[in-house]
Amino acid sequence: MRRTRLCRCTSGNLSLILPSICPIQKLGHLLFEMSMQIVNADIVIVGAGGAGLRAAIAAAEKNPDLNIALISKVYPMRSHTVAAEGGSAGVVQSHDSLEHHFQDTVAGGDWLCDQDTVDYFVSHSTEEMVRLENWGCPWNRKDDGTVNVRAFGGMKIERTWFAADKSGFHMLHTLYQTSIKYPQIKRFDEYFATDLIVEDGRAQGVVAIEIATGEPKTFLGRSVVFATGGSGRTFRFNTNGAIVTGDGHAMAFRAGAALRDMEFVQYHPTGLPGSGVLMTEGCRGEGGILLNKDGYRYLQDYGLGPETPVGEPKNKYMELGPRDRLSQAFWHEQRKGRTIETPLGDAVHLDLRHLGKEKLMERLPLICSLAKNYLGVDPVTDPVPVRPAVHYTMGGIRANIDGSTGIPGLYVAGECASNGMHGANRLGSNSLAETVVFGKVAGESAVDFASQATQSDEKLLTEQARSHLARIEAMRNANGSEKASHIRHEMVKTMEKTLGIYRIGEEMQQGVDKLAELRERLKNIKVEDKTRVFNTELLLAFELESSLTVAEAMAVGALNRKESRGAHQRLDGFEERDDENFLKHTLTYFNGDAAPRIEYEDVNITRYQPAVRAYGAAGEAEK
Amino acid sequence: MSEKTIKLEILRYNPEVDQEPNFGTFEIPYNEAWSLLDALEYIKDELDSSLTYRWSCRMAVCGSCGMVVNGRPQLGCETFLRDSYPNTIRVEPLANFPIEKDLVVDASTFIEKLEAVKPYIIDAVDAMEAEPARKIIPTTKTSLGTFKQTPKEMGLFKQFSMCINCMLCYSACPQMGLNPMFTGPAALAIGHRYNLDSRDHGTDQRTEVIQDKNGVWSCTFVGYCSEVCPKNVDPAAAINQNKAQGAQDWALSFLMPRKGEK
Amino acid sequence: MSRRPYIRPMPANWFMEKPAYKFYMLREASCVFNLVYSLNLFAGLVQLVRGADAWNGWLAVQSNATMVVFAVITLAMTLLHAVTFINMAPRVSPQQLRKMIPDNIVRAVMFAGLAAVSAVIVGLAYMGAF
Repeated sequence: MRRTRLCRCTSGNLSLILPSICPIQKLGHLLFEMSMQIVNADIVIVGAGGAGLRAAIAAAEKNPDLNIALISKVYPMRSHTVAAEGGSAGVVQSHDSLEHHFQDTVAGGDWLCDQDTVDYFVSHSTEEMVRLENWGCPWNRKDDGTVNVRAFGGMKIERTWFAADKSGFHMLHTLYQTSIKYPQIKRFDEYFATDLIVEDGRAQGVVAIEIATGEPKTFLGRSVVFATGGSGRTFRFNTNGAIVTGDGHAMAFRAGAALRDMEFVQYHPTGLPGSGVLMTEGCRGEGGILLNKDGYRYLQDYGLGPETPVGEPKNKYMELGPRDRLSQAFWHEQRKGRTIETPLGDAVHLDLRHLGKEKLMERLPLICSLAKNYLGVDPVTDPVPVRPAVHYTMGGIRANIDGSTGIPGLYVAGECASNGMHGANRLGSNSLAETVVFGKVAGESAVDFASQATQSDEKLLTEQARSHLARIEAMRNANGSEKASHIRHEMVKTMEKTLGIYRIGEEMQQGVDKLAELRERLKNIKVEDKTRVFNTELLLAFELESSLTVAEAMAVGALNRKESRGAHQRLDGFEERDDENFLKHTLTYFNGDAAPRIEYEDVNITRYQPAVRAYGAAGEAEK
Repeated sequence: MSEKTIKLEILRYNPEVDQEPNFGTFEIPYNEAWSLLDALEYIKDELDSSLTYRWSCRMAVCGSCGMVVNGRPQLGCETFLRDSYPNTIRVEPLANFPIEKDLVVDASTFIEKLEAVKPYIIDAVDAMEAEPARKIIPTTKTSLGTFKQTPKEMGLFKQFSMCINCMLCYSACPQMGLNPMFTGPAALAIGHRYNLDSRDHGTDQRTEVIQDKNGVWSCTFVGYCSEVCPKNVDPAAAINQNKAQGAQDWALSFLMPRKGEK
Repeated sequence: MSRRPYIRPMPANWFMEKPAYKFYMLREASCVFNLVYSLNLFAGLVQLVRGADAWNGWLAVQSNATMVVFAVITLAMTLLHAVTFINMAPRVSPQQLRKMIPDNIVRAVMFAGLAAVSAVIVGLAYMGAF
């Protein structure tokens, strides 16, 4: 048994004094799991994207004496926060108010939001945007040197802070680079966490694989934060990066935490056909319009009109409606045969030409180069074909405002969390803000918890860790007959087919059955690469296991939600929202070798009673 | 799938088996829309699951998939099969880094160099703490609490803040191969980015690293780093602007010897 | 530890690998020609001081075919050096200045300056010949 005390690095040098491997290892791989490297920290954070980095900084600032182990399966700047384009919401204009932001968010989420959480969020997001500015984030400016904001879908007033169309990129690099200032944040880049250690009913660490060596490491801490991102890779056609596989969801789920509202999967209306690469909502915020094959702005037929003049975008009208409604409108257009056939599938046109080259280069340079590279279309001269693509998981690990979960000592933040922020549909630019608002909260809560908790007997912890390590070795030695990649292909196709923009009970049941079959088949996979160094085949197997777990929670949750709300729309007799029976969060629990167990819990409604969710002129009539 | 195929020669290295890297050849179905990443994924999923490479966002912003394609450092996601078809595509890991496995290189030294340039805002408070004798006028803040910074002031550094840390420039730089201690284009450009930021007062604290012999003075302005940069950061300009500044400061230190004193 | 990072050796002729590197070496080599040519001119100056015979001897060497070829190559190299220098110069100027004046204008002014100075020198040489 080897151990390392995570010491405060004074040299600024990254090398932590990890012990040399104990000699017993040389006896061969058989005895490999006998030796174990332990990293002792006070707080263990998994995930170094927007939320994880913010949590680490918050923890370091709250108590500089604590040691923080920040674990990530990729280098921090590769985290998928980097791909967010449009911006981050925070009330700043004098004619705007927190109440407006609150109402937009709750109505946008079709009243499935926990309103206390939304209140906390809207009242803290602006200060987080300011803090990011102070740390160097290059938000776009007005001529007088103040920060500029842009319009975004479903938002009544412009409140989206943006850094051209690379807002997530700049936020992530600002957070990563700022985190370097804090020597007590010890990063473990390219460490792949596989399991949460829960002892005495408390989360007390994780087991991870050091990817470069293939060696397992046990991280012990008195509290744990998961900021592991979403799970969009469970679907075939998505805007997400390869790493967005729901690892944190699955770890927490297996350890007993609830996954909540997983059936609410956001389709972003404007992904590039083929690749799924995202064309930011900022395109429409700046005045871009959506056209069907007849050049008609079809959104006016779906409760988002009347048509607004081209070049004069109006908040909550037409192209500035919420994402769920826009994606649903696409589906209807496709059924009516009014979409455009392209070699890469049906699409509609996102027309940005009227914005002119200068504005496109200032506000939307990234999407211009992406459209050129991936489709050979220059938005300056031609409309860009787009279609809905899976983008975001509204649900996640059930959490309270302070980030706490059903497992004491485990805190969650960012896309992996379900703290009731987004309800049944997330508004664009609320998720970047969420990462920092609740990343900070989770980091501080983890400090508070670590300060009063004592570590359990280390023997018990390492014993448990050892059982998790055995699982890693078992996976590496998996010698069945199934190909993991083929199971993955079947999973993503199943999800696309049965859990689309519109859903039917019968199809969803087929999806649930298929996923159960895949879960069984996963037990019989073969991992061909048995080596240790950078074994990505092994990591992919773990990621697939996580994605399948998350996929089942999504499918079971969806099948049982017999209503239509936000991103969950049914066509089989449940076309309406049913507040009487389903103004409730879905909770799914790990159920061993069976499909997840389901429970429901009430939504926290403080002051904004459910009403008709309407946009465009109808939305104003509703007021 | 069309019946056309395309060949890829990929430099393979498994440290647990191979003494040295060797090329392996794969023939895969040709798809006009595929990026090199799509091709690698096809190989990993269908032909050889041990093929190892990094990737994530596949939209040229996460910086994971830098590799050398037909001799040129490029992002795998921005390289398309149609650009080479029907010729064979030759794929190697980034040059000037140790190869960990196949197309994966050891990036740890890059991270150390990046972090050494203090790539964060050193505001007036932090700067005065470090140099109590120096007079520093803090940047003005707005009533909201943000620093006042005009679009023009932001324009000064914006280009250098676009670096995605993909390390293509390190692969492009022969000086990096000749002197592995060289801080390198990306890290120096990011240091320059903060020096140019009107909110920052930490230039003096970065000088030691930037003006070191392993800093900008290891550069001979080959300029290939800027040619391969996928984000038009122009790190060569950043480095050579610092050389000019360094030379000017050096010359001034003779005319005004006190300038160098604290 | 099974990790065994492989460091590829840098070949001595690394500059032959890529056109960009070859051009860089050519650009850097151009100054060698200027150096040799300057030494030659300096030698001429020494010969001039030594007297008419020595000077005429030096002049005779200059009209040798090899020396003419050398002079032509040096001229080409000097032009290459000047063009690459002027093309790179704006990128070296302080960022504040660079944002004020477009690169192409700086280059145009430098090329004009080069042309003017060259014209003056050629003019003086032409006048001196008479």
